[in-house]
Amino acid sequence: MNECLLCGRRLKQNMTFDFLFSFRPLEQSVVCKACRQKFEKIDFKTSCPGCGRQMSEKTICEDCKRWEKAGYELLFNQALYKYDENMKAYVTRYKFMGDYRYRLIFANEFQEKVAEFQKQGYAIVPIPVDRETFEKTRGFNQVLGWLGKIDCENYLVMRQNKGRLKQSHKDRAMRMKTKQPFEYVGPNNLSDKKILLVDDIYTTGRTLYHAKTLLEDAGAKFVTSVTLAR
Amino acid sequence: MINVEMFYGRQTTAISCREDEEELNELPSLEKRPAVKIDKKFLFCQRCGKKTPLKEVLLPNGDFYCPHCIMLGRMSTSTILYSIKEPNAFQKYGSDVLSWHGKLSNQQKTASDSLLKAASLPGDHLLWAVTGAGKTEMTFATLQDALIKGKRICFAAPRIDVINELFPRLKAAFATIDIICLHSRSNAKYRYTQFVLCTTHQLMRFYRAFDLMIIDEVDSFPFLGNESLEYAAKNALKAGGTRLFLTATPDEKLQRRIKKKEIDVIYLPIRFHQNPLPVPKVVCCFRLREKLFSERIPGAFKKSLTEFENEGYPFLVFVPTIDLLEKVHEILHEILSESCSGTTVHAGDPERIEKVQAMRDGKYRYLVTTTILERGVTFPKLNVLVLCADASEFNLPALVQIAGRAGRSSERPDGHVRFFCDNYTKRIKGSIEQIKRMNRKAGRYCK
Repeated sequence: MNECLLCGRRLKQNMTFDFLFSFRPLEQSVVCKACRQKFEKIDFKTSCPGCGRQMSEKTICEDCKRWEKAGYELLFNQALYKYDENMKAYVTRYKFMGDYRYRLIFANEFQEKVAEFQKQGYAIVPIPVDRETFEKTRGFNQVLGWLGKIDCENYLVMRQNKGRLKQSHKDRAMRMKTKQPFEYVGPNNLSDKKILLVDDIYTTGRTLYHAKTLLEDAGAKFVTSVTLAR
Repeated sequence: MINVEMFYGRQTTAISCREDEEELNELPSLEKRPAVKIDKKFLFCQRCGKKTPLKEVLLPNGDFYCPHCIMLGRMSTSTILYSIKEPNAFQKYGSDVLSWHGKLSNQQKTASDSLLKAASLPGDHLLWAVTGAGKTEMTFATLQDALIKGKRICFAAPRIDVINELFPRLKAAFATIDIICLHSRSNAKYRYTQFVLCTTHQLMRFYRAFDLMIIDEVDSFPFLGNESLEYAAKNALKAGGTRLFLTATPDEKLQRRIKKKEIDVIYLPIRFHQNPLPVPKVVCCFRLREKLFSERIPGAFKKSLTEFENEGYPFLVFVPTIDLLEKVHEILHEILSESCSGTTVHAGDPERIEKVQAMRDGKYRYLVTTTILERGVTFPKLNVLVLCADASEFNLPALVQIAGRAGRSSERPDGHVRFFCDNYTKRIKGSIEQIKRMNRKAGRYCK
C-alpha cells in the first residue's frame, strides 16, 4: 500500500542515513501525517476517570455520577480519541461500510494500549458482535480487527434476539433502557480474575456496564475497559 | 410486491434494494452475476473494474471485498448483482418534447447537426468546443431525437457542481420529460426514467442501460485517468450504443486518440456570442506566496482588486491550495469595502453548493476558491484572478478553463483574466498560447 487510506495521496517516506544505518525494519504507515493529526487524542491527565471523556480537569463527569447513583461501581474506562466528526467518519467507513483495511489505521496504537493491561495480568475480553453481522453483513468483529494477534478470551456472546434494534440506531434514552444483550459462556468460576473489556466507542456506557455486571456475577474481581473513542 | 422496473439496466444487490433474496430469485428474466471475481492473486470487481491483491482484502469470515467502490455499498464474494435487461419501456414522444426555443448561431447549428448525425452511429465521438461555446444547447437536438426514438439517455459529468448547474437547464429544455438527477449529495431516490442526469460515479450502478450517453467535461477530475469511472462509463452503455464526449480542453490521451483517428471530432472554436476568448494577463510578483502569508500585499494585486470592485461585476479568486483560502479571504476583506462581500469554497466544504448558489443569486460579490470551480460553472459578467498561477495544482487545461470563466454572457462578452505568479511557467505560457490559437482559428471559422 503506497497511498494514504484516508486521503488517497501518495505516502512519502523520508529516508535518512540515520535510519538506514539503524538497521531497523521499515515501518509501513497506512495514513499520512496530515490525516492522522485530524483525529484528536484524549489527554489522560484531564479526562473523566469514570468514562474517559475529555474534560477541562480531572473530575468525574455528570454521566458517571449518574452511574454511581444507580449503584454501579465505576468502569474506569480509558478512551484513546475523541468521538468527533473525523472519528465518526472513520467509524462509518470501517464498521458500517465494512472497509476492513481501516483497522490498520489504529491497530498499532490500540494494541500497545491493550498490551499494557495484559502485562498487568488482565484477561482481554472483546465485546462480541452477533452472528448474523459477523457472517453475513459485516464479515468481521471491529474490535478483533484492531486487536490483531493479541490473545483474547471469548467469555461473552450476543444473545440470539431477532429483530433487535442496533445500538447505533437508538437515541440516548432508548440506549439506557437496553436489556442485557450478552450471555456468559466462560469458565464456571472466574476466580478473582482481572478483566479488560475492549469496545469501539463508549457512548452511554450501557453496553459496557452490562458486560461488567455479567462478568462480576461470574466471579471477576475487577472489570475495567478500553475503547477507541469516547 | 417487487418493482421490476428498478432492475431495468441497473446492477443492484439485495441489500441495497431492500428486497428479500428468495423473492428476487422468483423474478423472471433476472440476470445474476457475482459482484467480484477472483483472478489468481487478485480480486476483480465487476462494478468498478478495479483489481486488488487478495491478501489486502480478506475478511475474517472468509470473504474478499472490493475497497475501491465501497462508498456505494460493499461488493464481496458473497454479493450478487441483480439486473434485468433494459427493455426501453418508455412513453412515446413527438417532436414537441423539446420546450427550448432559443436560437443557435450558425456555427452552433452546424455543430449541432454533426452531433445529431454522430449520435446515430455506434461508438465514441468527441465535441471539442471552446469554453462558453454553448455545448449544452448544442446537444438538445440530439437529445430530442433520442427521446423520440425511445432511446434511454444518460447525461453525465464528473462533478456535482456541473450536474447541479445542468439540471435546471435540462429540466427547462425538456419540460414534459421526467429527468432524474443522481449524485451522492442529492436526495433523489432512484426511479426508472428514460432520461438520467448523473455524476460519472453513479454510472457504476448501471449495467448496459443506455443507448446514448453524453459525458460532459471528460478531461476533468475525477474522471480523467480514473480507471474505474472509465470502466463504469463503458459498462453502463448498451452494446452498440453511442457515447458523445464534450470538452473544451481534451487531455493528451484523447488528443492521441484524435490523431490516430480512433474517435471522430466535431470542432467548434468560437463562443456563441461570436466574441474571442478573453486572453489572460500575466502579472509577475516576486515571492507572492510568502507575501500573502506575511500580509504584505503586492500593490498590483491591490490595484486589480479595487479595479474589480469599482467595475461592479462579480469575480472569482483562484488559489492553488486550501491553506491559502482563509488568508486570501482575510486580505480581500481588508482591502475591499463592506458592500463587497464574499466567501471561500473548496471541495471538502459541506456548504459548497449553497455558497455557489448564493454567489449566483448575487448575495456574494466574490468567491475565493480552489480549482473546484475551474469548470462547468457559469456566472455572468465575471472577472477572474488567479493567485500563484505557477503552482503545480494549475495544469494547462485547468488554466484554460479558469480563463474561460470570463466573458461567457453576451451582455459582457469580455472580462479581465489575471494570472499572478512568481515564475512565468511553461503551463501559463501554453495556456495563453492555446487561447490565442483558438481565437485565431475562430477568426478563420467566421469567414
